[in-house]
Amino acid sequence: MNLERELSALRIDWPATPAFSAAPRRRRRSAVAAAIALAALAIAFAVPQSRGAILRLFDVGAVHVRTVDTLPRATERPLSVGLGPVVPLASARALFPRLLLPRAGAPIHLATGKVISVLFSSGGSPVLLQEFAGGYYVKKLVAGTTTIEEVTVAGADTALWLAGGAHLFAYPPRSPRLAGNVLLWAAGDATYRLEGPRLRKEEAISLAQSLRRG
Amino acid sequence: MEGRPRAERELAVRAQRGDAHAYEELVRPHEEIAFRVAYVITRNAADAEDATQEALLKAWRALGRFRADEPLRPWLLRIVANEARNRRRSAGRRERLALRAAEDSGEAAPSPEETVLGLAQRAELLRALDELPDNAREVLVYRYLLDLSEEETAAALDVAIGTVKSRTSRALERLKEAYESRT
Repeated sequence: MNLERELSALRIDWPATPAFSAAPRRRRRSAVAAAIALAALAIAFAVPQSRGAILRLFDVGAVHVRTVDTLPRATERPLSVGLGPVVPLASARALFPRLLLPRAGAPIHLATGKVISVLFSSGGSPVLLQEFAGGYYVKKLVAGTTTIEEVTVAGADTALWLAGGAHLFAYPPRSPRLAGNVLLWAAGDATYRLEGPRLRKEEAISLAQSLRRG
Repeated sequence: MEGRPRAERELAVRAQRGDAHAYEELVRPHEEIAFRVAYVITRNAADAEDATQEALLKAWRALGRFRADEPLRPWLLRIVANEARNRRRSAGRRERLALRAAEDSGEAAPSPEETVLGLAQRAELLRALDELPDNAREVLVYRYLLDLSEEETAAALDVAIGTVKSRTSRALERLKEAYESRT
């Protein structure tokens, strides 16, 4: 065995490379200031310090939400793409003790052993429910036209509603994709998201509160 | 440096004159490798991201000390790795680096003529690599998994090129022993 060759042939599941802002620029600072102003209007708590043009606004459980002035390139894909294979309920429960489901018998997908997805229909539109394993790192990048609002979801420690503009969602090793309106919430070690192209805030909160333990 | 793209040198000169767009264009091709170099040190993506972001800003501020006729990558990786080490120290955590084999994407898969290890054996090799001491693991990951040159590896490890050579040789020996003891 040629060890050097074997090492070179290994393909590693690296975390997705984030979008970086290489140099601070006056124009970008004003974009950041605009983002802060927008967030300050939309929410009622303090915004952490800016780091260059990337602003870490919120961490909701495993999901790190950041505002940027320009979204990196990403594709628009149907909600059903890249969810991973369907797994038995018992396997999902073993990995996700706080598993939530919209209804009994809904197909449960598992990707990379760390992301549970359930695609279902609400009011005739597709809605994607996802849960992320504790310690996982999920990135959501938000450009200036997206509104971020702190909301209350019964049983959640923190919850955010993101709507309006384009935002980007990435969890390794999947490539980033553009996302629709999203409700994010964290309860204990569990982090959930509900996404749907026509999802409204009140409907999303109501859906989240109607989910049952799987 | 021979073979170095002229465009990089021109961008570096423009960036040194204060052109932020040129700087962004200059470093963008190196951001992914910089993030991965940081990840090997910090062992979690959030710290690696912060370290890389901070290092990019520091490099921008230090650009006046960069020699535009030198390759950028070793210079940049030195700053990134240094920032990542600072963060690892200040975080006080000792997370284990858990490298995982990528899902089979069909791209750049090694052909059977080139390698002899099967999937399960490759997973064992990765576990053996994960368990090596930091010095040994880092030099092997940089040289073989990230395909850094000796010069780039030396910059990332903040050691001389001769040290990279000797450390690589010793690390391969250790890895061979660790792998054989697992199989």
